[in-house]
Amino acid sequence: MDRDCPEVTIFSCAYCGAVPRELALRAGLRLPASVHLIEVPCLSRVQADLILSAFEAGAQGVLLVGCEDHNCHHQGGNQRAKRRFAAMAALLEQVGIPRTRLSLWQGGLGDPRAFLAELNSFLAAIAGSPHQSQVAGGSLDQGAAETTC
Amino acid sequence: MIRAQQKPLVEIESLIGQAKNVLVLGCGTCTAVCLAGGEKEARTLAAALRVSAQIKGVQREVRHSLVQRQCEPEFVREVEEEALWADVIVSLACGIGCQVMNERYPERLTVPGVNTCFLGAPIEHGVFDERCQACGDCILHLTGGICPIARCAKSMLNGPCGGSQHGKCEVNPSNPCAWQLIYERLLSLNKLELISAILPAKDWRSARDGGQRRIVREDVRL
Repeated sequence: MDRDCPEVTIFSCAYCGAVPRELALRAGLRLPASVHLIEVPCLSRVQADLILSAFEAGAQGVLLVGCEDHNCHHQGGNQRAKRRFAAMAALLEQVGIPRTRLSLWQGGLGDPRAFLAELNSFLAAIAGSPHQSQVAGGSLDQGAAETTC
Repeated sequence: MIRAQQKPLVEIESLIGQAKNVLVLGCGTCTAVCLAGGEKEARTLAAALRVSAQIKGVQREVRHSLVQRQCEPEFVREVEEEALWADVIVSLACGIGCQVMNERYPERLTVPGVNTCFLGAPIEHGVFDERCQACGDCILHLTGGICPIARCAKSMLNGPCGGSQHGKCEVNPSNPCAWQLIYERLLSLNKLELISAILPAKDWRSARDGGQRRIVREDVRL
């Protein structure tokens, strides 16, 4: 377990969301053990009950990863997820969890860099100190990504 | 069906007060259909209350359960064990379900987790419009199936009032004028003569004005 790395749950769409993550893993990235990845058929499946369950189970942040706008594998599930995101963030605030602990990233296929950048900045935002949260400091081009979290 | 909206979490927490054991009780009928108080909403609210208590350092156990029809005493009997475990029950049913729970379990306080809003229908997914005020004297056969009591801001029986513009209500322009709708509907049914007939003043005693109402069916009483 990476002791300094915050506990984060990622709910990832099994299509667009999974591809950049898969590419990153193939390039040699090791996600910190404190980052838990849960693949769902569509990000619109992830609703407030699941997100609260993740926080209840100890997550310090929840990252939602889905398809880009206008590029949903299904029919607008990403748009539904986007609309729900706002409501879920508002509910978390009522509960007492800052909005920044929930993030939505809608990335493109084949873009592991953007995925990693998002994950890094999310971990940094939660940890409150950027140096503790770099999960991929190496070069993806050389397949030498490394974990410093 | 009955339409309701969940109360803000902070209000629900204030209703719970210092209770240690809390049961969030959903209803599987009307409030489930309007996405305010079904199984999923009960599960979500229970989780929200638990996480909130955790953050505030409050010792509290929150469980959730569901009754298929909280407005019927026979159905709420099914949750006796959970109801008696709880210090406070948060009902996600309409005001009827909440009252039935209080009547069935008088030793436990059941508080409302939703605001019961109106009798209505979905006009699209997630959008519900009022359709009926349960006035006790239905005249839909005279108004082309469109209720002027519930849908006209002035509940006019002999409309339109003359204030509508472009088919929209002058009181709330986001609503269509009910009498415009009635006119168009009667026109399409070739029954426009109905709109010319003067309806007499309504006897509101069948509505709320006579106090709490009761229906007695002697033929089915035990």
